[in-house]
Amino acid sequence: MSERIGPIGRRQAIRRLSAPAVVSLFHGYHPLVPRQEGEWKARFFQQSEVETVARIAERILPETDTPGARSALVHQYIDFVLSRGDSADQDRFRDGLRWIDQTCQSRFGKPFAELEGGRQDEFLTGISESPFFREAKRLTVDGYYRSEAGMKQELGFEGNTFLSEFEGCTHPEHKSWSVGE
Amino acid sequence: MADVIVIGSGASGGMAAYNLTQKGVKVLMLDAGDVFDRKNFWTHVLPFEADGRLRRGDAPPQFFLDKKEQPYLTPEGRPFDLARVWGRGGKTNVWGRVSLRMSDLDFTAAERDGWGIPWPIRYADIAPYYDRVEELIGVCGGTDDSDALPGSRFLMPAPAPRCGEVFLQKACDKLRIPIVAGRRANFTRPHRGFPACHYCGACGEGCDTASFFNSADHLIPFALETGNLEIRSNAVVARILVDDRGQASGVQYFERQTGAERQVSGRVIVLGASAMDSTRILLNSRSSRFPNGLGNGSDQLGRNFCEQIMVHVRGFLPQLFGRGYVNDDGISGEHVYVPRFNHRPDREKPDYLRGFGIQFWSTGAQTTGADVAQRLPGFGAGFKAEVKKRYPALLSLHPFGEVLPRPENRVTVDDSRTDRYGVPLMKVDVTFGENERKMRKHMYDTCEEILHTLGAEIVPIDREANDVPGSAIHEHGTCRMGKDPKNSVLNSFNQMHEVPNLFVVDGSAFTAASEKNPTLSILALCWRASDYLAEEMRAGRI
Repeated sequence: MSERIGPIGRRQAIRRLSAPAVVSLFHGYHPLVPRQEGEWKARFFQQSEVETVARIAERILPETDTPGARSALVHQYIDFVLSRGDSADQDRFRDGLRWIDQTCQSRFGKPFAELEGGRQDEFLTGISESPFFREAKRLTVDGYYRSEAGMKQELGFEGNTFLSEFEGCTHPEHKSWSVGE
Repeated sequence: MADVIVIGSGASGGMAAYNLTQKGVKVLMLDAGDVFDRKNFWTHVLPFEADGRLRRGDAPPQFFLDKKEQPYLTPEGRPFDLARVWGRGGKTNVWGRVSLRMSDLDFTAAERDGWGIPWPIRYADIAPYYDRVEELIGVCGGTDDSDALPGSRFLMPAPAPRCGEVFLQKACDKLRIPIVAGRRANFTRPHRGFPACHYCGACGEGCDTASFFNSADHLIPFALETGNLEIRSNAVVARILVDDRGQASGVQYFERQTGAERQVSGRVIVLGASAMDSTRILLNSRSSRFPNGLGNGSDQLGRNFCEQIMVHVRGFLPQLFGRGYVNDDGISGEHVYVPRFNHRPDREKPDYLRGFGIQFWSTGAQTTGADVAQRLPGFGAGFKAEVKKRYPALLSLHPFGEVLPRPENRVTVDDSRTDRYGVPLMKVDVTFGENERKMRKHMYDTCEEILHTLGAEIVPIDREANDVPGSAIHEHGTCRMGKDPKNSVLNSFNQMHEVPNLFVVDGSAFTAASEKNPTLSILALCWRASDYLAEEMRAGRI
């Protein structure tokens, strides 16, 4: 499993056991992706790659008590960034996707997108140091934490507003803290 | 014919126009771009609101010049990152606002350590101008002066430190590293008819209420009010023209929209196009009298590039884990600053020359959590929870170290490669040296020491890493001032040794960079230079 830096919460565990919310990958738009006519259409990915990318992004930032990367439409963001990138970056990402599906096919008899979630996590853990995964994670993180789901629902951001004064630290326990404690 | 042609509208061009027009001098300003309308700034647009705005046809101003429009060359394997803003106010529209006086520690450095040429001025020469500039532009800060950071006479109250900064203060106190209130040109009180800062933290998008100093709102309108200023926008200057006597006689420029060539004449030229473009203009202003660039008999024009080397160290403060969102926006950028301390008698003598200071922008909860999440390992629900836990706990340490001026770090022009107007492109060849690498080690060590003292979780450091040259956006030295015309281009009043009716007033005039952000010093030096110029004109010497 993926919880390498902390135990899974009970609430998340229950949620994970329930069926994932059905979210259309094509309905609506990620907020940093320019609109097209009608439903979203991939600019860089082939239709068959979209589902794989969305699944990878969802394993990186899954739905918990707040939305995950899939319902935040992070795959659309990744598609858009790559569509504007240079061809070497594009080739590297596409080669990575192809390698993943070929490897899953020969190892499990199924493409990545059709694997069960735990198996997907296991597989991604195995490639977590690869340039492909690092790039996928970088893009997923950027797309998720700049979406409303990531900023507001997940992190509770309430800044960039008008304040008449800035109070700074108002916590007595911070001010009284002394080095060495 | 204009009395004075000012090239550029940023900190230096704006100040020259501001001061000269108040003294009754007729000024023609040439600006390479146009007005950035504050109504269109995206100061209050969150990332996820961008698309809706764009669909309504509302786009933010494109402050930074597209490198494709005005390319520059770098040698293979030696990148240089040049950021330019062409348009009213220049880079002051989006500048970092850090306002630090240089001190005699900086002005006497070359005499003490023997590197480079001496500054032709001392702190006492510029101090009265620092006073005036701080009063004019509105700098907030503390009254915590030191030999490395003098002068706090006209400072507005400093904003309160954020939680993370309270801890940084304690760690530095324990380590006997000085840490003072940050000094920044954000108005913490209403100032000259402009409202105080509203602490939205989005200064980098340009301020919709002009609550920090920028040339376009705080200098140029006052110059226009005198009736002595005419501005020509979208005028991309190519060359300074000279007459038979070797005096500057005018300027050749190209209209940015049409590409049409224009010439305009003036009695005096004040060049403030920002260091690299000013240097390029002078190098391209060749004639039989000045075959290798205007005023370049010393062969120092374009050489001695200097700036600051930057590294970044980040950590997470366990004391702030999991406490939820806190509004840490403040005046954007840090509210505390570590001034240079490596020269202090109680410190071990460094194995390198000059010094560094430390800034702390992005400490605390940021607009997006991406900055935190990019630095944590793993993935999945556990990763997501760890991001949330550390989101308010980020400490960011950004030391800025002085890069020594070296003759081989230089700007040249390449006749075989020209821009869209047929003017030779600039070529920038800059690398960091041994002194910078040694200082970098001390920069990393100090940051680690501070974070260790707090028990912070340090994000893994690559100690060979630093930002590529140019990243500080503080370019200096390529048109330096000095006492001796044989090894400098300008005198102590930014006046060209070889062409007395030509003044270069931007950062290129600095003899050395120091570790400090330069805009305050550019403004003070330009005020001083334009006072001198006005007096010379009045006395009939120019």
